Amino acid sequence: MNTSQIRWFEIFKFKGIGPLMLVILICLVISALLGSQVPGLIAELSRTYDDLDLFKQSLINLSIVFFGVYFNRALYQVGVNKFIQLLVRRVRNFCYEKWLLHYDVQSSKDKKTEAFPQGEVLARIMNDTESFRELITSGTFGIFIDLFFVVSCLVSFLKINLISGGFLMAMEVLASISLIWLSKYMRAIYLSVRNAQGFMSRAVANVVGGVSETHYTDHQMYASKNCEKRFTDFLDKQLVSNVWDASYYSLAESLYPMLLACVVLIFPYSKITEVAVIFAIVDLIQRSIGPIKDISGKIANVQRAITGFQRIGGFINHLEDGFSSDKRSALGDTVLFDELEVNIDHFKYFTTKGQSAFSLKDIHFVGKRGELIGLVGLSGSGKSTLLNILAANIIPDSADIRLKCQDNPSSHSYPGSGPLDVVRYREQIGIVSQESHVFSETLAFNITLSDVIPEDFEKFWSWIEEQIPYFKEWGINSKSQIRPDELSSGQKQLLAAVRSCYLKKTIVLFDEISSGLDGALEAALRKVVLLVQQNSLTIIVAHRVETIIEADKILVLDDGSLVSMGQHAELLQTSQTYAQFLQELSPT
Amino acid sequence: MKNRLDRSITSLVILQFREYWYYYLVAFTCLFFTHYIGSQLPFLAKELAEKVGDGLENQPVGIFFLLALGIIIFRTSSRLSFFYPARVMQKNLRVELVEKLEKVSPLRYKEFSSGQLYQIIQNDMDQLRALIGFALLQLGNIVVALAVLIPKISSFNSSLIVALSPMLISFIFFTLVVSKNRKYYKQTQDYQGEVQNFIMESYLGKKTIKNFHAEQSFIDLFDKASFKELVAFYRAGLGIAFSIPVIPLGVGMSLVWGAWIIRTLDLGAPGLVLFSGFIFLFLEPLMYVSWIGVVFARSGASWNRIRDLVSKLEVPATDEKKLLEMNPHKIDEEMNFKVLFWDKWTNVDIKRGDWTVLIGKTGCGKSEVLKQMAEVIKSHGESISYVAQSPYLYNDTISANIFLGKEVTDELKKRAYDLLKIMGLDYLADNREELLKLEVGENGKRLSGGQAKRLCLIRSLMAEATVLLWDDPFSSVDLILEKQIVEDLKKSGLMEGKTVVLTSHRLTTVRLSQHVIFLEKENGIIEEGEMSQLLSSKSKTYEYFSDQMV
Repeated sequence: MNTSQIRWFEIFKFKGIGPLMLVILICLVISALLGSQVPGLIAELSRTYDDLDLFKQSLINLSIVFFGVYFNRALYQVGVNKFIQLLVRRVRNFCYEKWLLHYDVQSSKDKKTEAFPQGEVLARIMNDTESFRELITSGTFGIFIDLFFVVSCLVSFLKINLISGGFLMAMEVLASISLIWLSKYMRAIYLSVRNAQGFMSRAVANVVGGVSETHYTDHQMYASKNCEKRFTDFLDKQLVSNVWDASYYSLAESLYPMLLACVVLIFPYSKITEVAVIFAIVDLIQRSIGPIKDISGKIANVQRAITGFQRIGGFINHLEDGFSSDKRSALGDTVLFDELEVNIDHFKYFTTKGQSAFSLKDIHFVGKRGELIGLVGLSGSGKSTLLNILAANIIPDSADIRLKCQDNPSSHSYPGSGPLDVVRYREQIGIVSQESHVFSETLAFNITLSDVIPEDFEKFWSWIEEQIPYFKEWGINSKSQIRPDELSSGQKQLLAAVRSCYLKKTIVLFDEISSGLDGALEAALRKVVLLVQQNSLTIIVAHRVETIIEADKILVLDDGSLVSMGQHAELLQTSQTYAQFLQELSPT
Repeated sequence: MKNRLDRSITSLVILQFREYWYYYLVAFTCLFFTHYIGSQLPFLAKELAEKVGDGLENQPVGIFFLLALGIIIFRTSSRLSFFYPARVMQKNLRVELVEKLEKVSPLRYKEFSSGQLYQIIQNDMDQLRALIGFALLQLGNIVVALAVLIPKISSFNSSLIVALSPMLISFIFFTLVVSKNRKYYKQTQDYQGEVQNFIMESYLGKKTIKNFHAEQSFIDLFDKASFKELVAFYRAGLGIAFSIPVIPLGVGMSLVWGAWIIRTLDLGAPGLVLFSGFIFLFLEPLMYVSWIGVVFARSGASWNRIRDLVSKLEVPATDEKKLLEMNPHKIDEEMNFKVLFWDKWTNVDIKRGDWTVLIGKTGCGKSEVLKQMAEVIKSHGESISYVAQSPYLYNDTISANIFLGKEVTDELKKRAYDLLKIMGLDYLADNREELLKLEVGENGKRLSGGQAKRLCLIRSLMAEATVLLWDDPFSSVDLILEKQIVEDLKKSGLMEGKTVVLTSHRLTTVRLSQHVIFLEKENGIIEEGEMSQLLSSKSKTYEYFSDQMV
């Protein structure tokens, strides 16, 4: 509770908020002041009817008030607009930053993967902040200033005629409350419409994505059947809702005669004797009907915005619970690690029911910068689990993975004593796998991942082009715009590998693509592994014999254990599992 | 069903009126009564003002409540009788369009991205509904309101009408600003799309970003994209901020002017009450009129987009026509195709009942050949089943993705489950029913790429098709699993009598087929023949795969 209060304060504390709030507040006060003038002036207009000069003066006074209202209202709108612009910017950035810095990790104790899938992240950052902006587009902010105006009109009318003013006020409050109360039921109906609409748009989005492909198979009009069901459902819900909201708004419109009736009913007690008072009261009714009609509709918007805030709060709370990294590299120190020592005693996947979980045990090895370590084993032997542990995507409990340094006695241990140690370890690792993402930006951005391309990049790139002729053949240069959809998985992996070569990580983990490469690309990929190896300890999950023949060390995994370790030639002699693996790799 | 999509927008509106004329008759009648009742109110208020000196003790109130009831009934009925036909029309149009889309060759709408198709079915159709439901209602509303209110106010004094002009001008001004502002709203929407794309990319690339500590870069880029959108939105809001308060100003000025006229013509102080009542009555229909222009402009553009799509759906696309001209006969026992391979018509011969594999470098055009074969067979009405390189899964259950629109029987379920076992997908749930009911998520997001592909292979095997076209079917399956799957499939008997054409880069997959066709971008088919022969001689195919032979 405490922390969440601090956080809201933190969110609302941004540059420029103070003066803006002041402007908005002043506008509201001015609006109330102007409103309090209106009934008097209206009554005055009727009273001075018989004296031309005074009548003229009343008209001028009234015009001044109307112009004042205009300028005040316009200033208020601009202020509110600016406020929302800055607030949404702030909230979005806050959410995005928190989300990006947060780590999704898995350990044997829980399976905290994908608490916020893509759609959810989008919804939190975009749709929930959109509900603040809707306060403007829907005119909800306008209602606030209108209310200030109308309420002060009503209050000042009390001075003219207390009884009819008081009665009218009571009736209007009653009308507002009943409309708000009714709108609660309307909301349930709107919600069902919105849900039906959601299902419909999902069905449409879904169908347009696949219809061209399923045309060439036995589809039996799946798309039409599926959509028609959703369209009909939407139509039904919409018609019901139309009946409700048409009657609801008509009810609000009938307030004019009803309030007039109230004025007539109260006549015997209000002792009105002047035309001027009748004029003022009719004017008051006409002025207040708009805001009364709107208030119930706009309350839903305010609620939506509040829900938006709550959802964002929940999102941030969740993110702050887990692991997060610093904005910039946390590792201020310049220790250059050059050795890795891996000791994993035991790791078991988290399971729900009494299922038997896959586990990894007794894996111990060391590696040095400049070495190539191959990781082999049949499907399900634990290669990818081990790789994920080394990448710190999965955090084991009984393990010690240590980064060492020859010239310096200091070392860094992971999982170590807490999240910070994991984060620091992660900074030393580069990963190249099928999951490595290529962004639709320039090639230079994809390699450096920096908005401002560093000066040394061009030099690096010409060196790469020299080393790997494939890029010339491919026909791209450092300024080329990359379109990830048009790249094959091999080309994506090649770019990811060059990226980790540029960023010179202590350890680079490779998950080799198992198939789908043509010869030239395969040669390029093999070459890039050698380039990476110059600066890093390279650990590679191999699917091809050629990759590992030259490895300094090959780890053979079977059923979660490290069964043999050595170089190609010696393993051929000693390890049956290795021989079996080679057998499976060979296509005959 | 009436064909609604082949019309101009005017003819669509006319058809709508002809089909639902009784609704519109009721609607206009109700509108007339609503405004008639409304126009009585200022006179009643004036009457009160006139009588105020004589004492107001015994004024009748019942009449006011009666009028309120009248407003409720007639308003509600007029709204409903405008909305109902519009909503029904919208549904019919949507159904008609989706059916059209599903029936014709995708070549006809290939220039439309799925985002555009979505936009047309979802949003453009909604604009049309807004035109026929909302805009026509408000147009009717203003016409009836003017027809009723103007004579009424003239019956009191016709010189007062001129005093309504400030109000009218303020509305025209507001309408102009709103329609100009559309530019900024459009911009906001475009930029919003960019921000969303940026978040999606960050999501997909989050691991990569974190891996290389590029968070700061991305946070800065996000702020840039997001702020660009917010600035456009602010600009849009600025116009509205200055123009919305113009309306109360206009109303106020009309009141002042009217009061001046009443004074100069000496119509009496109660006349002020009457006139202010009329201003209020005009306010409501005018308020909505401001938006009508916007709706008309938008729905016109929307209908053009819809028509553009529909007209393309109706005639065969150029590629479709050419393919059919080159392959005019039904593909029979000897499956000889003519396909356009890099601008050259090339003969591709497939042996019925056998497996044929297309090989060649990445990007040499194998997939394109497969797609053209699919188009030819399909257009001759033969049953085929094609699986794309990265196939699309519907956001639905596993069962729906396998059977699509087909009726699902127990027998079919059993066969599907057997296939799920063979493909190694049965572990996703504890039993058959649960597995079939499992939701695959948006574009199969809950399955890995390989799993999604295998699911599509099952769909293909369950289809009543004699020809199966598979684009790189086993690429994301490792060698060992591939071997197992193919062995099990052949054992299951499901492959009997089926002709399979596939593409691959992998020697193991090639070995599963009887025939090989080797494609090269520059030279077309450079080698074809029996797999066993090609792989045992000094052929180009042998050379191509030599580095995969250990």
